[in-house]
Amino acid sequence: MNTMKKAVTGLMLGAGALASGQALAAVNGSVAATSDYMFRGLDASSGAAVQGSLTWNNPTGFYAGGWASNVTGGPVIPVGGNEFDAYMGWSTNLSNGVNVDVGAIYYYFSEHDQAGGTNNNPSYPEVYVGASFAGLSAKIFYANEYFGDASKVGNKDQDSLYTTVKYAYNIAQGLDLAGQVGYSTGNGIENLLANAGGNDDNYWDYSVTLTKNIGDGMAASFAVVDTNIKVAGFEDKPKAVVSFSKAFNL
Amino acid sequence: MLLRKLFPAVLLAIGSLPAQAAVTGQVGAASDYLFRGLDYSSGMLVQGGLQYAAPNGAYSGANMRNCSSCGGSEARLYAGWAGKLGQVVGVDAGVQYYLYSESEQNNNGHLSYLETHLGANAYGLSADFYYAPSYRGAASVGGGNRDGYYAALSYRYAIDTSLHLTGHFGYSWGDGLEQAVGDKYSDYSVTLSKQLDNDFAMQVAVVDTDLKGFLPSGAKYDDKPKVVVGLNKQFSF
Repeated sequence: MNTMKKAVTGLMLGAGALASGQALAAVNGSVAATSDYMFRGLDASSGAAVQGSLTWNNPTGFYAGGWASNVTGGPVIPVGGNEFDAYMGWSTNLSNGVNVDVGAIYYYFSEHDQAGGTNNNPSYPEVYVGASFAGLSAKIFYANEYFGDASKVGNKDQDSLYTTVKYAYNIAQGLDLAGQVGYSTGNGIENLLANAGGNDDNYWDYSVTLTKNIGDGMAASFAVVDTNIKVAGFEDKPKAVVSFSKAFNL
Repeated sequence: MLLRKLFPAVLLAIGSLPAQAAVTGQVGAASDYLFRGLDYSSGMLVQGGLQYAAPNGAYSGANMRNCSSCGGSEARLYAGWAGKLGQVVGVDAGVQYYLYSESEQNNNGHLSYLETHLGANAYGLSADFYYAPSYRGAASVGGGNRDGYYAALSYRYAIDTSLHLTGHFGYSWGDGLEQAVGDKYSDYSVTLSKQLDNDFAMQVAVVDTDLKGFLPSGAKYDDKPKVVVGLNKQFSF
């Protein structure tokens, strides 16, 4: 769902390895505090966020779970209140060491209409497929109604295609440096940027993250995140983001 | 060896960590980010940093946090030297750069600025002096000097080995500071900090300033005490 989630997922694997003496835990969880919830390079919380997830993993590779965060939206993202993501998918390791992952997410913003009057529901579903090998990973996401009615412009299509590639380099035991680049494109992106005063139908996001495993399933991460978005009155500049997370098994 | 002294952070980053090198880190969350008594986050704060301390007392580091008054986020880069004069008096001299990278994205102007620092401490009492030639960058533009000064006095009392009470008084002044904040002002705080297991620590503080005046909306403003609670974790490499 976001870089934090990805960092936490990596961490959960680490926690799993630490606990390898016991049988495969069926449910993994995580909690995290982050100085900003960044979604594909965009500010979704305009300040600190507290997040958590629970994921049930089946030995066949099937998984399902939920992830939640406070959100406020930002210069581009039109959400507020809270976000709850429900997801399910299937992930497996092929014999050549490649991991593949396919699944679907529903981004649910339950508080969108509590102030009454508007019905600009930003909730939407998305499907994804990804692959990773050693430190390199790539994932493609497709949504046909990106940010739902909240980013709708007339009767235009709202499709969004997001491609992200990440490389994580292991500097030392428990210390990783990761570089990530993402590309968002489609009418849904054009609508989102139009709401913010722009007229492009694509943008790039990039980040560099240093993650330190600090024991007991906890991790600290330091990141710089930016996009190439430049619209009227808003030219995105690099954001410093720090996060603290803890992974656990139920 | 000379290279090592000049670029300790670089060498450490590529992984040549000698066993005695003191690279430490910290992450924490607090209910608010108060900078010299001013509310810089308007809500919850998450922050963290890394620091390298050399055996000879030189140190350098970086920390970052969310900061709505900084355009979204703040990163501080700093370097200095801390040591002892004789057996009792500790001294500290350094420089730090407040990097507000996002302050330009909404045409708010460039707020990043540099500040120097000199401090001394003994018997739990510390005195610190800070000088910024152009306090908060563009926020202090307006002709004339843009300087900002901060002098602070604090006393840390050990109730027991893991529980400390700190009283703090600070005074901020200078043409640049008065442009950016509106007036010279005093800030004061009382902090109770408790060391917890596994390098966690928690703090509870009451913070206030003597700032009074009028908000841009015209409403009267009189700063009242704020209670801040925080939790942080230290770690080492």
